[in-house]
Amino acid sequence: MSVLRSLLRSQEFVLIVIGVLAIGFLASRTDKLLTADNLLQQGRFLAEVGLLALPMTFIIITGGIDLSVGSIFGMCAILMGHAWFVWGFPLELAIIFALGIGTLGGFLNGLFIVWLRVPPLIMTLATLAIYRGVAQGVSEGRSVKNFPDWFAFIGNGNILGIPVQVWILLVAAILCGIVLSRTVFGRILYSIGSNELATRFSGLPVNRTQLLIYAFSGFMAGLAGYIFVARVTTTRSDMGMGFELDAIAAVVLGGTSIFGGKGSILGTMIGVILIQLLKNGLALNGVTGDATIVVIGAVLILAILINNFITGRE
Amino acid sequence: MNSATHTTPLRTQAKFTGVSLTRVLPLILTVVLIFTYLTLPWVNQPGLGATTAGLLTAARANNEIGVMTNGLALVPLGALLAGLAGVWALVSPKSDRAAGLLAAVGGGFGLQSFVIAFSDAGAEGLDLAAAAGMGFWLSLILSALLIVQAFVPRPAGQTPLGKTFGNQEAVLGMALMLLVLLVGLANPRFVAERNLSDVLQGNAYIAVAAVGMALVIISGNIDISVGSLVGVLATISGSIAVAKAPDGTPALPVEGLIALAWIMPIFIGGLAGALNGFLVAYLKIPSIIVTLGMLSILQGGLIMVTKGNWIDKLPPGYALAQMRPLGIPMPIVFMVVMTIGGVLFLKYTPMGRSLYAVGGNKEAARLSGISERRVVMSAFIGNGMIVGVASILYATQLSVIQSTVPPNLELLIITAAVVGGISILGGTGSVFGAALAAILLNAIRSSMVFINVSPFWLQSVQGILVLLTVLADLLRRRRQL
Amino acid sequence: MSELLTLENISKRFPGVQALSDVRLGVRPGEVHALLGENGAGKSTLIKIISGVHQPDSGTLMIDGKPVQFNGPRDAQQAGIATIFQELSLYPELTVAENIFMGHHPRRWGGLVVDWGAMNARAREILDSLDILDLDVTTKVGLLNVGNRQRVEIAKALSLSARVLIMDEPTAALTESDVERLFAIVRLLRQRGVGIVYISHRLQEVFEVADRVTVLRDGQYIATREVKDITEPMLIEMMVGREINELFPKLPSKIGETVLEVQNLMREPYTRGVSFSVRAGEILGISGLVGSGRSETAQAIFGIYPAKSGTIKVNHRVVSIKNPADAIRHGIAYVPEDRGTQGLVRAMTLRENSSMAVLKQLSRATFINRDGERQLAHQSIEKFMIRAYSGEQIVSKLSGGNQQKVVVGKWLASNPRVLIVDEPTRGVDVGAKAEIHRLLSELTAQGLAVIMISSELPEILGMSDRVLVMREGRIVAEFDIAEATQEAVGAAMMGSRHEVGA
Repeated sequence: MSVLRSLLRSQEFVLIVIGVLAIGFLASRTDKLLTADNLLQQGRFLAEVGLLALPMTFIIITGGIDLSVGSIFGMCAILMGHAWFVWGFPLELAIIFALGIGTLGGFLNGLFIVWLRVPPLIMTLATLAIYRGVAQGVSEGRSVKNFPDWFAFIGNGNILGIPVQVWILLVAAILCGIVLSRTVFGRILYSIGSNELATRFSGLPVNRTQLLIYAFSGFMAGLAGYIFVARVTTTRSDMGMGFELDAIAAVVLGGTSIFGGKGSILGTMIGVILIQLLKNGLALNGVTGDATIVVIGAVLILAILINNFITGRE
Repeated sequence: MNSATHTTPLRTQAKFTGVSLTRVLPLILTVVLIFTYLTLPWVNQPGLGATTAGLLTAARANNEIGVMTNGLALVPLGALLAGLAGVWALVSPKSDRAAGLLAAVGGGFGLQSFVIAFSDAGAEGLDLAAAAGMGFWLSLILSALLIVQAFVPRPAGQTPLGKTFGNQEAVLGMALMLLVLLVGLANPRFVAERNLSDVLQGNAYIAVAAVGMALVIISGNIDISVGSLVGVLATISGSIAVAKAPDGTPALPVEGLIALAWIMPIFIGGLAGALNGFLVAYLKIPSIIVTLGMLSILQGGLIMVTKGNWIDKLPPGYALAQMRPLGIPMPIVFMVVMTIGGVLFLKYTPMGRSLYAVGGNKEAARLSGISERRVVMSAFIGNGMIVGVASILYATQLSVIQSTVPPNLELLIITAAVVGGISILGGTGSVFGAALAAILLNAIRSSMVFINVSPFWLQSVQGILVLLTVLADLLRRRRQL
Repeated sequence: MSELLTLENISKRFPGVQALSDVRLGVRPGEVHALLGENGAGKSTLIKIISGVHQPDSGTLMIDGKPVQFNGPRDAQQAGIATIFQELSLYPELTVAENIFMGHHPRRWGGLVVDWGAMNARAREILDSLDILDLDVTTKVGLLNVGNRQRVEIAKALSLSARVLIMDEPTAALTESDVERLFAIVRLLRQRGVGIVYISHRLQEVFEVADRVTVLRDGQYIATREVKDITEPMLIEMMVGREINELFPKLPSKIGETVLEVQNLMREPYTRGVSFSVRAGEILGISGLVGSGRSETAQAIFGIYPAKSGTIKVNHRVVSIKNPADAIRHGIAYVPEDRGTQGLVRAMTLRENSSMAVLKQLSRATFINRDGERQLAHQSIEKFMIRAYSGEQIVSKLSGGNQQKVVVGKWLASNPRVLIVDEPTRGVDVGAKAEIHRLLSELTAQGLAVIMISSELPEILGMSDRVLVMREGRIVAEFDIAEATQEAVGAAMMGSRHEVGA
């Protein structure tokens, strides 16, 4: 009996059960959901949000939040295209440039949050606007297209039959998972989320750690932006809008407490997959794309309620 | 004996030092100035306020040196002096703020007409008389707003300069006037009546929504779903206005439909607010998450319902935002009324004060016997209803109701509230400046076109403004602890 | 004389601990009634019951002899009970007047509109009646110092027509002149017939201002006495239950080389040119009132808020300490004053807390050595006799004494040369207290240098080899243990005119 109870306390477990039920239901109504082709395709689609959700897990575990990832995503997409097309960078350099900008954007977030002690919510809300503005200002509404063929590989190609970005996500997820659960860095993250002051008093590098995770978030947003552009082979200034919602929803669904101190990469990945399959299942059942936004919003709120309920029971 | 316990009584700091020259002079000069503008009888130029400026322009064009030097020139000169007196009054320690601001503003538009009348721009044939008139209106409204807020009690112990610049509304007012002046000099088309009138009214619905947002932010929460809510409520309003019975005729007498179309958004907005409030106050979900989720629910819902179609063929009499009671554009009326209402509510009602308590120190509020749940719930419901009002203004700006709202509308509303003086950290702030901030934001957007800066950068500018305001707020709080 | 407030047979249990059992308390009008007891004796729980925050499991509360039940703070307020907790509950962004009247603003126009004029006027009246003439009611509270903020709290209590005023450690953060003003206000209130419950760990204050005193120990009622009928040793014995000298068995140890030397350390306004040294094997006690800068100076040495100027030498070598990691590297460890917020991550396990200061050493290429961690936790539990069922227990479930042992163990794992302990036995039960003292003795016998900051004079006098006294950021006296008496040290702490020449 206590085995059951401890299972019920694990959000990952509850999640998997609910997920299996929901997916099962949707799959029963259409035979296109659970095909290998479809699943691989969905893997391709969820990679971008998946990459965003990894550092978001770190950040939320420390009790922070990053609302600007969608805007950094768009900013990097635009700047990559702009650097190549307008400034004449070689495309390889433009890609590295974009990743650098993303990291810089995240680093600026971290800088203000750590040194000026601006609350993360407010800082990233402001940079959500500022970075989106950069994307719009630089692009002036124009798109960049006609990338060379090799460029699209990371977005549309396969290695051993599995999409490239899924491999990237997998590797990144495993690395992040190991860091979180087994290294000093990961322990510091949990510690900051539970009691930042005591962590400082213990001589652990709180400031440096926080700077790193926000910079990492910016980098991943840049990487995800690059993969997205490679997938759709065009740039647009509104790319990534709303992705922060998806990322946060996945993280929270996966059992990370919005108040900090608790969470896991495994849970986040389950959350990412579940959300994608949910969207896909609904679409295949005839529900239009806009309705799925509604569902994700509802999922986010429900996820927290479930989380509260589970932890409240303890 | 115990020198520690013997305290020196406060030297009673009188609030009014009585009638003095420093108070009276600027006041007199400004009153004379306004009187002159309003009552010069010889002119039949269209638009109040155009009188003196128009007269001067005409006199100059006709080279009527006599007219120009004969006392009429004294008026702008007097205005200039009033302006100088006002500025000095602002920074002098013995000044009375209201008089000082009045004088500064009066001097401001006097200066403006002075510049216009004697500059070469008159030769281009633009409607500068009307421009001066618009400037007059702008300055009058600003000075009215500034005067009202001058009587809001301020904490003791501020230096005169601190009084001037630590005062968000004054800073915004001055920034606005400076912007209009500078951009107007660079490109006079900016101050054309049509444009300035748009600038003034265009963001009025945002100013209204910002009042609601202020309620939520002061209580220590945030609502990023308001943008989508405006869209949804506008569509609901429009749908009601064109509702047809099965046989194709209007479902109710037109007046009834219109009335319903105006009232339902407020009611439904309140319901949406209640839902948000319930999730935040009773289920303890952080407001950022609730409203993040609600944002997408509303956004998706809106698209699902409208399917991208616009609503047109709206009944006459429905377009609230296009009415002009007493010649004043309705959006401005709403903006002023809601702002004043917001200021009064926050300052003088127990519920308003409870918002500050809950946002300032939750634990203390609980011990004071304030129910955090009720307060937060009320803040969200109030916000929802006010968003309802704003959505009607938004909906009736044009003769069709679009199926989308400007992207990141919620950010614009939050920016107006925060830059207007509501501290995003909660527990303090006056909603008064939100109207000014909304106008300023629109002025910035408009001016970017006139001085050839790509308007695509507007989002960044807004974000930077918010960040600067927040940093200044944080700095102030840290310094006092 | 009938009592304003009477509590009888009050018991309260929290998960894992019986906070109060069968406690009684009676407060008469116009009396200052001190409530004494060590931390963990049950004082705060009792206060929270009186102020309506908690409800007792059993027993009766009576106002004017009639039984009442408080379902929340509001009920207690309406019955005329006002409480001033240590964490002042004020609104920094609002004015003094509004802080006083929040929740019960004076109103106009049928109760719909807040009457600012009346509020300011009545706030002024209340402050004047307390002889507080130098506080402007339109000032924002955030701009006030601690003494003034406390006065606002008192005015707040009076605005609610409080008949019983409870003050929890009111002098803990006050300067000396503020303490005097507080006593004057207390006497004023007493004259007006207000019953005051006064909690303090400073026995001198009890004798200075209280009429009666009630002592609690381990959640139980010990006694109530008239202050004029008792002496300090009697009080201590009631609070602690045993003779003083048994408690602080500092074993003699060989005093060696100077390990830590601090010269002219500056960090305004808490540390103003502090210089001292500590040798291996010795315990240097630092006493002083709250606000004298002891913790802040220790935190400057430890790098939490690095000093602006001055030198720190470890083993005769000048070192630069800009953050705690530097300090740890040089062999300095700091057991903080507030273990709940500074010393422990309460949501984490004993194992995770024990290893927190030595994570780097316990890891190979940033991977945490789980086995090493478990061993460390196990060692801590054994060596310090921590009562926990395993290293996986969440520390928030441990008692105060055991939590403190975890913190001490955590820092000892870093193999320090100098251990700074700040209020090492605050909130710790008597048994654990003795164990911690014995541990410190053993450590000094092994050559550790210890700096002990404490507000309990008996602890300082019993454990130290030398005693420093700090006041307002400076060291004002230094005593060898032979010369240190309670009067001399206490006098130096207070800055009395009769300072004993060293």
